[in-house]
Amino acid sequence: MGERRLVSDILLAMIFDILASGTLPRDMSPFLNLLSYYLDAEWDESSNETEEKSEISRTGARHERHLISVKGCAILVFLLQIKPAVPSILESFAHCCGSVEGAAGWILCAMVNSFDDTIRSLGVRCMVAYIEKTATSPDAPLATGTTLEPENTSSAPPEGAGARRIQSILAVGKGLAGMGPGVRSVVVTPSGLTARVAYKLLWHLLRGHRARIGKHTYAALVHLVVDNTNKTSSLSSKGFIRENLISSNDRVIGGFRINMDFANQMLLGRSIVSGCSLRDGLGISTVLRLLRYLSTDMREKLLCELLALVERDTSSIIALSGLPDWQPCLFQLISEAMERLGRQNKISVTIDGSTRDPPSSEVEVGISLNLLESASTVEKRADLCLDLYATLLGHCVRGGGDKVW
Amino acid sequence: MYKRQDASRRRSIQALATLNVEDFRRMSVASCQFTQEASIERPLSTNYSRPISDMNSNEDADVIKNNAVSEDDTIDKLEDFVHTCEFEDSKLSSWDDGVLVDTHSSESSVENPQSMESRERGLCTEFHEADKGGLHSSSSSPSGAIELDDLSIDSSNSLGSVSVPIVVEPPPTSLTDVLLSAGVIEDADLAALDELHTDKRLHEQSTGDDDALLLYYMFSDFSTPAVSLKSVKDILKTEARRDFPSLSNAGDKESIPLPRDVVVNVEQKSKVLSVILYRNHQLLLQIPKVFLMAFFRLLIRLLTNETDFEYNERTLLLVDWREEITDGKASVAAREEERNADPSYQVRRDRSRRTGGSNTDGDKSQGFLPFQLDDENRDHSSRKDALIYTMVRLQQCGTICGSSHGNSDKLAARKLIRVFDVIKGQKGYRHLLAPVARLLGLTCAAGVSERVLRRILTLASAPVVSFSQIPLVARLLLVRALQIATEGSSRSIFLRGKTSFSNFFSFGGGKGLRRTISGLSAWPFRNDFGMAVWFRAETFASGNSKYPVLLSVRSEDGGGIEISIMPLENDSHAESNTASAAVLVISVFDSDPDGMEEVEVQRLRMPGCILLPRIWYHVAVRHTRSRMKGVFSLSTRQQVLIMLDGKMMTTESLTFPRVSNEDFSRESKAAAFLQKAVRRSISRTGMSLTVALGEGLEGQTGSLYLFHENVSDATLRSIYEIGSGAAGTVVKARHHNNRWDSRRCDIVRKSKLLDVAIKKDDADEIVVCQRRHSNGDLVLDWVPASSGTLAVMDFGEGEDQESFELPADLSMASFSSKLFLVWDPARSMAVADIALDLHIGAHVKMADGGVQAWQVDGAQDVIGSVGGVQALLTLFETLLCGGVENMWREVDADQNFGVGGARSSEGLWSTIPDLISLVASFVRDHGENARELLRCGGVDVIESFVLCSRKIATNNPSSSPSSLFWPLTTYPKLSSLLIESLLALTSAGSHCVGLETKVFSRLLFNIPLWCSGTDRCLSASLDITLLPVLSSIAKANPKKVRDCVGIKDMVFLLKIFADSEQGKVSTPPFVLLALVDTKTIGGLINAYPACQHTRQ
Repeated sequence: MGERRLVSDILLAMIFDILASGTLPRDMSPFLNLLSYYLDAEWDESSNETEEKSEISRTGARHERHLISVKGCAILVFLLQIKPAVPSILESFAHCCGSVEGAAGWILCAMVNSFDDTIRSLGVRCMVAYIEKTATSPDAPLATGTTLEPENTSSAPPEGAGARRIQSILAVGKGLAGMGPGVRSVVVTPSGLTARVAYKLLWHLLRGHRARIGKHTYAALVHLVVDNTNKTSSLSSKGFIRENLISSNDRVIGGFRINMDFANQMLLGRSIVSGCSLRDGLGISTVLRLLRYLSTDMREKLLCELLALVERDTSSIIALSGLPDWQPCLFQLISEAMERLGRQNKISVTIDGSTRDPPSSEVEVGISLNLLESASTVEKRADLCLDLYATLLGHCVRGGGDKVW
Repeated sequence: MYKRQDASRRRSIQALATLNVEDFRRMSVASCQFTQEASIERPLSTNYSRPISDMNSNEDADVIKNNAVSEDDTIDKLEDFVHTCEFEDSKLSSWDDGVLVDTHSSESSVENPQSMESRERGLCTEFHEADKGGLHSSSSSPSGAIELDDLSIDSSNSLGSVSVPIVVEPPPTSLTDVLLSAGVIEDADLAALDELHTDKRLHEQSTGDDDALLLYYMFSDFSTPAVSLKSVKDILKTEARRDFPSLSNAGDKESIPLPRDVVVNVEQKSKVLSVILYRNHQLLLQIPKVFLMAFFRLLIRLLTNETDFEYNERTLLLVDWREEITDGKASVAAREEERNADPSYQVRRDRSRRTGGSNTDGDKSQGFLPFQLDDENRDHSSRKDALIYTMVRLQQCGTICGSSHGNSDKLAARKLIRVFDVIKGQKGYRHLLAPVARLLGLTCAAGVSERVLRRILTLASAPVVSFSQIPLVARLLLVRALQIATEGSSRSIFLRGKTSFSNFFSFGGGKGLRRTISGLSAWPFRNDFGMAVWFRAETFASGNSKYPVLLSVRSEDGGGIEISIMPLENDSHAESNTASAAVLVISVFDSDPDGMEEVEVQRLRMPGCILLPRIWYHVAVRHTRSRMKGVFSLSTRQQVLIMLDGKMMTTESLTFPRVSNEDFSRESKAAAFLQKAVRRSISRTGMSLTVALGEGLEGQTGSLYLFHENVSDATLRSIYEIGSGAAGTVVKARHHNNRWDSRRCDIVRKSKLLDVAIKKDDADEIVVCQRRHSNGDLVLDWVPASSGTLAVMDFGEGEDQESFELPADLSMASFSSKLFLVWDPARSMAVADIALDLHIGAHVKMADGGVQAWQVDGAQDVIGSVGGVQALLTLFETLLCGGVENMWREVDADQNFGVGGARSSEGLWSTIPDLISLVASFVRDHGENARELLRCGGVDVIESFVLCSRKIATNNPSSSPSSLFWPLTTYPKLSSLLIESLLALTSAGSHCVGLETKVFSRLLFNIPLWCSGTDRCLSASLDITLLPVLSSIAKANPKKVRDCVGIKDMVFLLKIFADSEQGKVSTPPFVLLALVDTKTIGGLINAYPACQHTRQ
């Protein structure tokens, strides 16, 4: 078993090294095929098991396949996160999946729509990285390559513009021909999928798996809100990732293998730290709309993170208050908390007063204690929501304008 | 009776010399008929020779088949016959003179037909009878005469008809008698042996062991320093016990100490070489096994500086492949700890660090030199540089003792391949195969002839018909021998020694090249003297009154200049009588009118130029005298400039020698009258000078350039650069920092590198060009007396075009050379043993001074004459899939070769790495071979044969290996060896982009070929060893891996490993279709049977 895992790690390290040097469709295709096959197989087996039992237990070859799937998905995430982008990775990815939106669809279907928390978290990160590189605006279709500015029709064309345009078209044509077959459909054909739609799909999938969201997905949601690998950070540089993701074996064996410790460190839970900037509004909106479906603990943790963020940084308040979804989402959270608080108060009055008999059984005592504990939790959550709401609302009021009302 | 035989033999020789090919065929048939009759007439004789058709017993037929001679055999037999005739003729001529000088009784040889002489005499008689049968050539014209070296006989006719008599002889009574009868030792040697018996000093080391004393005596004059008696005795004991230690339980301490970096003595007849170069193989077969194996162990270890373990591993193929690599490392680490605990080792190590070298374990008594490298740092390749010259000296020594005719260079290789050819099929002598093959490889490192190379390839790649004919082990040994020969003579080896000479003079410490040139009108070096020569000294002998003279130019009365090598006195080793360093000394001698004594007027010693032995140096000296005397100064300015390796070392004042009367007369007006008288006498008789090169030098030199005019620094530097490694080198790919240019994918098959080698012969042209650009200022002031000498450089055919209209630069005089004399080893006549000089015709005879001009015909070059590098591919077919799977039982059953408890088959396990290394050695730094291998698709062929071997292994999953592929995937040591060979092949082809890419993608990075995959009968040892190496390559150069290989195979292997726990491999169809392509289809079909269904 150890030898097999070692061989797998060595092979994955080689695959990452090769793909990170520049990806071609002929290399990307078998890699994605392997991931697809393993993820599909895992989906089939997990879907059968989850109907019978809640927890998934993997043994033997299935466990090995799952490990390879996780490592392969991590490699794909790092490849997409590398800045500047790995040459031709987006084109190759889109080519293997048929189109640009096909690639986004593959990420959502194969990775995000997974019963496994780790795979799902990697899918979220992969989706974030992919949309970040393919979307220019929330409502613009996803596209690879250089985005052309909309043509200014008001100004008259300069002299010789026609000839230059012909030359540029010829140059583009030559370049596309050099990239090989299938590129035309990928690059030239406009995509109907926008970033907003992609994030809505993501939200739907996450909501569907809300019962199985674990710490990995939570970390991915935090990653959806904040960007701790901004453009100046060296964390997303190719050199840094290659140096840390690929580690050397011990002296006897030699060679290199993939280092999943580094991957886990990078991909697992991380709280919002100072210096991080908020990502674009689509991701934050997705998280805010997802808040009500999260578990209580995760909801509180996420609210704490957001509150800490807005209290620390004015720009974050501006960014958050600029979102159209913040007010209804927070209002819904507050209202739910208040309703629950009211219900808790009724129960506590009933227990404190003598209108009802003392609990007859131990079960009833337990339920009452849980309710009392959750009451404090609900209070805390309500406070958090109110604080966050008040902060954002205060910022809006101070800013004035029609939006306040 | 003897006179009758003498006459018949002489007639045989005359007949042989005038026979043509057709006669030869008829003669061979007749000899068979005659031998058949002779066997009938002498039924009791054990010397039999019958045609194959008469053989009833299969065993007899096998014996005859084994000895059925090919074309080369026939030629060798004829040579033997000529030797025999010469030998017998010389003996009988002495008999005719009435002086019995031969110690062998002729009667006994007649009465005892089992002896060797009788066998040769029988052969003589056969030819004699054939002669009597009217087989004389009707034409005695030179065109009809047979040249032995160029003889070509239709082998289809000669193979079946010529039979070789097999001599079944009883064991000799005494080894001394055998050697005495063979002429290896003589009566004087017997007396010396008796003295050794009574030597008290030797008795302290050994007592009462005759064989040890004999072996010690044979090696006593073989090398300097000589081997000790104790070592000889220990080696004999080791060979007698035959329990050879392995690395895990033995290190250097277990190795019997022998002198290192020995210098083979070439001045005298060597008894060691006499054994090897004896005129037929019978002598080797008569020597007892233990003695002979000890003999070879001593010889090969002395030549290669190997330890006992290395000898066992490389020569006897005694490798414990089952040993874990970690154990080996642990033992090395343990040895290192033990060494660190040894204070004497620490002292030596510290000293070596200070001096920049490293010490060896050998002490001073064993030729310790400070420049020697430590064993851990000395791989085999680092020793090869010295090995090639050692082997040249060995064969030079063989020339002295082994042959009487001139064309005898590379004789040792021919003899050894003959011995190998004879013993290959005889099980009783199979123990000789390994040392003979190793010695053959070492010998061929100094150059291999086309015939020997063809024979090696023929033997190794002969179709596998019967195991007893050419055993597998013999084939592997030949492969290894060929690899040693190729690596030893490859160009990169020469580059390590700062020079790329493939031709050089080898000096044995004698008089050197010496030539007296007479008829000169004046001293040619009156105003200018210049010389340039490459040289390499094997050792600096100290303690003698006369040290080696590199160049001496002296007149008949002693005047002239001498450049010599003076050993440092403070650094001499009394026991080995050598010095570890030397300096250059220039001496100027005036003529002594009386000619009685040497008049050394000035000696210039250069303490700054330390010369070390076994390193090539280029020395250039320019001695000039200003011609401006009386114009700007009252005295002449006489300077000498010395350049070492192209760098100017010093410029100092050095007076010119006063030679003959001329220079004396300039300073003595009183002698004007005498001067005129002497001048008249000189002009009448002519002046003579003697040029001597390498007098007393033990070493080698390149071409000697002697100038009689002022030559510029640039010219001297050009001569240095021509020989400093630029010539013959292959231009490496210009990618630095291991960067991969993706455009190479498109030019893989179009790549051709131009050979920009500068020919060494261009040196003369450089000088001429210098002259051409000198604006005519330097006009020749010396014109040789002989007009014919100048015509060589003056392009005599253009004389009729000489006219006054031509500009001065194009006149004939401007094309004359500044060179006075050139002795180039490439311009030598081997037959006449003469080195030619094209300038003044000062040809020099080499044999007089113990000099031999040697040309290293490397196997890399010679293979082009025997079919090119693709001839090696047949070895893969024969050894990997030529029916080898059916022969393992026979291999294991053969216990004659397996020694030390190891099975015979285990020695063969390294065949695939050895074959790959062999190909690597042929393409390394050799552009032509690399391009040829690429052109003929050799890499694809190799891949297919390895794949075939893999199929054999997977189709016969049994406990015993049925294929050479199985051990590679089982034992880590073999896996490492395979990877080393693959990396070596990739590195060797790095100068040819196409070949490197192909090797990289088809062999090194061919994961389906090497990795176990779904083959459960193959172990994952190779995977664990190979994949880390590949990952290192991928990390270092991912673009190259991406362009050449891609990740398909890796993904496929990943899939296999992930699914391997299940009972069956469930590969989805789309993955298979994505992976199956033309490149890896063979590997995939073998690795995954489902692919076959998919393809169908």
